[in-house]
Amino acid sequence: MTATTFDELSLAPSWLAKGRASLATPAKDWYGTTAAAATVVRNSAAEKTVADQLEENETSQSLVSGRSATALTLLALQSVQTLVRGQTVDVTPATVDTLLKMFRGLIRDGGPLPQVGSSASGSVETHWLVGGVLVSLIVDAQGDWLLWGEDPAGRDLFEAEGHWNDSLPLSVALDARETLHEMGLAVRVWPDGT
Amino acid sequence: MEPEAVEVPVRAPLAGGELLLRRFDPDSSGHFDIDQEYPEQPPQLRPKALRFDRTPKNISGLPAQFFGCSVFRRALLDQMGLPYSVVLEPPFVGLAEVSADDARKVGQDQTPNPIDAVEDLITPLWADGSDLYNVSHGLITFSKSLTGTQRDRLATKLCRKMRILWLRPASV
Repeated sequence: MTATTFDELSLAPSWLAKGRASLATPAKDWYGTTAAAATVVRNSAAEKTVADQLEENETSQSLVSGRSATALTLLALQSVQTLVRGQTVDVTPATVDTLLKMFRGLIRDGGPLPQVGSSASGSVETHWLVGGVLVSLIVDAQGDWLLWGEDPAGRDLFEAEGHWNDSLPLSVALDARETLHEMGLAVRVWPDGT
Repeated sequence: MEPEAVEVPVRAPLAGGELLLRRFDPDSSGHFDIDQEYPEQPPQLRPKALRFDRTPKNISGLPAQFFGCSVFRRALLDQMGLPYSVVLEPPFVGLAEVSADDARKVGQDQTPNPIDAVEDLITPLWADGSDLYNVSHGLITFSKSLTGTQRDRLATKLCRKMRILWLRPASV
């Protein structure tokens, strides 16, 4: 079967093989990220913070310094949790669901830092910024989303938007992942000084 | 919940070359992105730095309203002989700048352009002239026809057009 949507693509064995070859990312991380994120959400529901989990995880620092997809996703979710606690964004289960799906699809080992904040409208807006290239993901309270990228001159690289549960179009997914991969290669500094 | 946009009454558009100043909080990480390749460059503003002119949704149960982004017109401050630092109000002690033309360019691929830069004089209230700078107040407006995510995207594009002048003035 030919994959036609991002979700189908992400589950196709042929894609996993292709992904390993092109992005040198072990297939287990594709699912590991999702599992870790799900754990975060479950533990958050039990009033256990992501920071607590990171503290308890003896390997967390090595995960972060290695910029694994799991660590990057945890950091992004930790930022979302901080925004929720600060009541600066409108977050619902649909928002979290969309964020998890998008992060699973976009965040890979060695990628740039997801910088999470509130948008002008109070949605969750995640930026990746390297060398003036920006990738932005906006997710609102309904779980509706907008993903777009822009080069340093302001030219659009890709764009797609959808409602909760809509899949990211395949062409945009590939463009976004390739862009983020290249951005990851260009990272010179990490916010903690590494 | 998506805040309901409020149409701004028709106001005179500003000349394209007018430089507009926007204050922001340099101590809030939510107001910046760091470029991971060029961290030595000034950080890039985030949309949160444009956000605080809305009616807070948690005050008096009022719905959040989106009026646009407050700015101060550099030429009018110059005419009045006021230093740019006069518009700063802690914790918003950082200052960024964008021209009216560059602000409009953010929405130029749409017809009609959903972004404009307009006059929005605020009458000074204090006899001592301490808020005289409000005469230079202007707005970068966003059309209410935009969806929330579309408006967010344009706000981010606007941030990328803004040049940071100060992270904080020397006297602060």
